Amino acid sequence: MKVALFIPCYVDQFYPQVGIATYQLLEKLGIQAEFPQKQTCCGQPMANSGCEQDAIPVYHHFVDTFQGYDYVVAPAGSCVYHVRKHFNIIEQTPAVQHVRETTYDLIDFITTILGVTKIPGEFRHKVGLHLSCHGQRGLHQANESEMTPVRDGHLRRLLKSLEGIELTELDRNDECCGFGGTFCVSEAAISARMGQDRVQDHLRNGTRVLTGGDMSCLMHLEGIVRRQKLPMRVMHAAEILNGTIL
Amino acid sequence: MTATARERILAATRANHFEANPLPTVPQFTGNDSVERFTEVLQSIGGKLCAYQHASHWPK
Amino acid sequence: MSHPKRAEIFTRDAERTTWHDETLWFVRQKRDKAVYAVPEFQELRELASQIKTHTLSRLADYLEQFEAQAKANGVHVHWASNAEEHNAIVLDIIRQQNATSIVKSKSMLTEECHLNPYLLRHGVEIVDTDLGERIVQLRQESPSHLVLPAIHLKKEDVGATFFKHLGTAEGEVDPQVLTEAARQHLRARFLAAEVAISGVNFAIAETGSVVVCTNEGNADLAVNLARVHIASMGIEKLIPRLSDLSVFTRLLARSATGQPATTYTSHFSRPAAGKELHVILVDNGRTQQLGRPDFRASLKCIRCGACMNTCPVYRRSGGHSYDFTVPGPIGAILSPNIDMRQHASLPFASTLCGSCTDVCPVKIDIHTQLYKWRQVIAAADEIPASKKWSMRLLSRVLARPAMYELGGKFARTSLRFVPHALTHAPGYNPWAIARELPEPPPQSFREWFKQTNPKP
Repeated sequence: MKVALFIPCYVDQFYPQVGIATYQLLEKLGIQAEFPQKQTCCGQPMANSGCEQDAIPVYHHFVDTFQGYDYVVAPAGSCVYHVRKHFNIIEQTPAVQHVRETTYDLIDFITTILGVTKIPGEFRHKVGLHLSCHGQRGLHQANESEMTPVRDGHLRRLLKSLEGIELTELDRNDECCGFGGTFCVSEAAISARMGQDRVQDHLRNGTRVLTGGDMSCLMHLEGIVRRQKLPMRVMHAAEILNGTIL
Repeated sequence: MTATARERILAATRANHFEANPLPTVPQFTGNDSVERFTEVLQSIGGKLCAYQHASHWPK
Repeated sequence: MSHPKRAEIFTRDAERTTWHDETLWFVRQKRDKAVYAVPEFQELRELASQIKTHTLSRLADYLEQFEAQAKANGVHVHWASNAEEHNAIVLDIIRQQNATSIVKSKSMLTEECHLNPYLLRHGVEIVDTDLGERIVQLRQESPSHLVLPAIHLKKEDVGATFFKHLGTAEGEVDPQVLTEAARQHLRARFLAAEVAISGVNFAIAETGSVVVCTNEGNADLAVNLARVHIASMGIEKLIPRLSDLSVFTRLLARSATGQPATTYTSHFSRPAAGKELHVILVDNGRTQQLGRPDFRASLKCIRCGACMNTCPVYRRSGGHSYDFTVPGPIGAILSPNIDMRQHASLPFASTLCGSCTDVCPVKIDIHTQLYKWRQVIAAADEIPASKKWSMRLLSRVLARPAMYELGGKFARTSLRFVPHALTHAPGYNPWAIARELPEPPPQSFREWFKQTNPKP
């Protein structure tokens, strides 16, 4: 199985530990992933700003970079969702279709492609799980409170399989954190307020480690946690899972 | 003579008709027992179900 | 003023923002409870969506069927291409009756047409009888929510308004006392009314009747007392059959407030003896929206307000921040059809979280339409020039790996060496108003990877 890592720009530059954890976790699960050095971005920042047309060269570059692999794996559900949903505006060549169908969020890849449902290891902490909207509602990684009261999902199950872990029961299980890409600067006041409210929900309910499958939400939440100097650590789920397996 | 509002609206609407699904039939949703459901919901909000065969059997 | 600016002003009152958010979240939770209790709810959504899509696909036929049936029932049917025509028709009916006492129950269409100020300009005073509508009317405000028009107001605000206009005691905030004052005040208006105007929730083509759903019964009281009933409706309110209505009545109140049904669901088919029933069919931009394949599904909307209650942006920015008759996510996809330039910021007032789409009882793909409006608005050059050019530049960089690598490295290393006060300077970096920037690490992932996996 030929697997390529897609490490989004902000993870590459600011959270290399998340990329490293993704790489090592896959290695421990038997996948030797490659990292095509010419990769850049999925184009979402432009497209969500209304400049989808400007993103077309970026889409082509993405497909060009990753078409030779069986799977593309990224520790970021939002980028994956963008590739899968919004690469529909370029010509649907076999390469484009292949890349759209085989780009996976890390957690999805682990559970649905590798069939891993349990991670051997322990993590004795109170962990709050932040669901990314694009992962949850876009890629259907978790149940939605709009549809059902049952809180379930791929990442929730994986985390629960860790010994000693306690998951926080939030007041609002799947409210958006307010990052929203360029929304975080174009609607700065609302974005900040949403993030603060999300963090408060975790704080109120005892979260000591805040995690999730999408680093973009976590970057925003971490910025708030650090500004407010809250007793909470923010870690990507890959870091937790990788740290528990020896 | 200029077109009336009626003619304008109908023409503009008709010009934008499109291919779509046929009108679906509305099923009766008989799958769940409605009396049971009613009782359940009534009791969940603190009500009590009194069943009578006929209105004349209601307590005075 | 753009949405972000008005939203920023709203959030300055942090306590009120919290209260607004929690109040509407409570309604969302009530909706959830009601929805979970109906096993076939998702099936109903799909049915409702199909019925509406089908109706829109051949709307002219259903409009004609409705008109013929309504006329046969003795209903006066009027057509209005736009707000001005609608308002003129209403005024005309009022003048024919020599009426001076007019009441109106909830109707977003008449809000959209700005009927009240129009009639006032022509010397006709109109009294809104829905409690929330009356409160905002007394304050000369517009509704801030489709279903809960005065949801932006606390009981203290209502107390102050009633003290000023209805003579309640100063500082009176007891909801029961305030509601009773409104009842007494409105009762006199109901009894005197010669013409009653109502909105329409559904119009049934096969029967020619209109259906009005309220919780307060104000529409029923008004139209039964008055000599003339004018029902104003957008042409998209049509459904083909009476049996279709059963699908929508099960969805509407559950989605709106979590009730199994609205307290009153009244069918108006023909005028009572000696009375008149007028129905006004209004276009006002709807046929234009019908002509936009990407956006016509927005016409399926049944105005339940669920997308507002669930929207994390709406809950924290308030309905008035949208500055459009229909606020929230649905307003953000309806408004650019009316005036793209004026409402250009609304489709961007969303994180595209998708919750609106998931609560929508008629399955409008709201967040996808928000995304698509963004493309249309940018293509029409209605986004800020700074954004346009930075996105164009970004695109150049992202299609060129060497430039990208250099740029990323530059960003990270600058962050490491430029002082915190400068990188977090207010006015230059909106990110840093409420957040810290990430701690820049000494090495990027790609540098680590190159080092760990040297090319053989």
